[in-house]
Amino acid sequence: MSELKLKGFAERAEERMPLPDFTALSDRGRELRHRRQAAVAGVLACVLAVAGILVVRNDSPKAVEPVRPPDNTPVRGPEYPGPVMEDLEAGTYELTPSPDPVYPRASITLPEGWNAWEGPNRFDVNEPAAGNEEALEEITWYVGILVVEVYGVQTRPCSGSSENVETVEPTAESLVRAIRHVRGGFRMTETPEPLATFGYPATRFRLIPTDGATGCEDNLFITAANGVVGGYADIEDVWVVDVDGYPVLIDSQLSGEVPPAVQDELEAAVDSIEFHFEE
Amino acid sequence: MAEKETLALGRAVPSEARASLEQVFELSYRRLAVQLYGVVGNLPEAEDLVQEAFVRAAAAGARFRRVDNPEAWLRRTAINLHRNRWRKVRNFHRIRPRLEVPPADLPGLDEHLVVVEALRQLPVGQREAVALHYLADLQVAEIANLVGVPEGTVKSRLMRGREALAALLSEESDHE
Repeated sequence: MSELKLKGFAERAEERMPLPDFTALSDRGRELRHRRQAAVAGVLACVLAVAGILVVRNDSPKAVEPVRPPDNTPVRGPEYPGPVMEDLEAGTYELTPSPDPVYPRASITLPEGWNAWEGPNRFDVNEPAAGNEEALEEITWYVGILVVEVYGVQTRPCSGSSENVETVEPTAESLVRAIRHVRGGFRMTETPEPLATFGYPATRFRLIPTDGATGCEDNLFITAANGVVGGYADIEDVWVVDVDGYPVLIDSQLSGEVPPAVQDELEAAVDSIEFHFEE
Repeated sequence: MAEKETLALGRAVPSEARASLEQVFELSYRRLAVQLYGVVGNLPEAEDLVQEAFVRAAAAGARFRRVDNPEAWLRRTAINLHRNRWRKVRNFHRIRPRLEVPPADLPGLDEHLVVVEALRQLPVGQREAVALHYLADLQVAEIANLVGVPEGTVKSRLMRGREALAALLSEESDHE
């Protein structure tokens, strides 16, 4: 009975459904592709220019690593479980930075002791807790990694509101520009420089909370595919990576008195990130 | 014509028979929009998601042309976009009250409008499972793969959703 009604609805709705202008959609797609391609060209030009300057100044072509072509045989692990707040086994996981299936995926290798959330994280607590979610309330130090497509950058500290977001065009150039001029609860501590890392052109930033935003519970700074994320941390090391025209943000977060061994784990986990495309 | 029918059924096609994006659009747009209408219960949102999926397909260029089942690719993209938008709204909800927007409907649905209204009353997971099973003709395993939950969860959602829908539609018939 219900099935027949559902089928009847589908038939009628399909008949009545207006067809939009295909050309307009196609043009939007073409424009998006061109922006991505232009961004790749722009970032590559920056990388080559910086590499050239360093070669002239230092006679050391190793000062900036050459851009490696994407690895065709990446290590692929199990799907990352997502924001489930549970322990992760040591191993390589497959992260999905975007809901867009053509977007690059990222593999990341983690040691024991890490937890699943929007991105993998690790933290310590004052007292034993019932579960990871409860433990997070009693945090003494924290490290975490996000690998995401970014939709926007927050423009006011301590506001997770969608009204205070500067929308980012889907290009690495636009994302770099937005983070370079970040006006939210974070500020840059070093001049960002283009470099080649993770096998692709990239730009690295170090962000710390502004004075007014220190300790603010809603000091989130990016709206990504998975919602409003990033922030809270004392130090945010951010890379904008241009993966064949698809901008991906890697955010390495560190808060509190993190033991040196865990800092090494964080660094090694970030270093292990490799991008690849689904065939 | 044979190629059109193959595409309409959403099956994989050999590379030599792969259609242009415009052909896929003409054959699949309305069907996908109806499926998403069922999933999200809101016509403008459904149209926007499907159109955004076509924009992503156009941007993907050759990468999209290599896809075996374009309609399935577009459905997955639209569903993923919806799921992430919903999660984003859910996150904002924690911070400030959500603005309630009355859902919009397709004109001319007449007696079929009760189906949309009944679907809207189902919990999100059940509505998603029911719409994908009955409107997109997806099997339990395909739905599980698409929405990222175990097959047992999809079966349970389908069963409960079916029962709830039957009750809602029956109530509606009693009122008539």
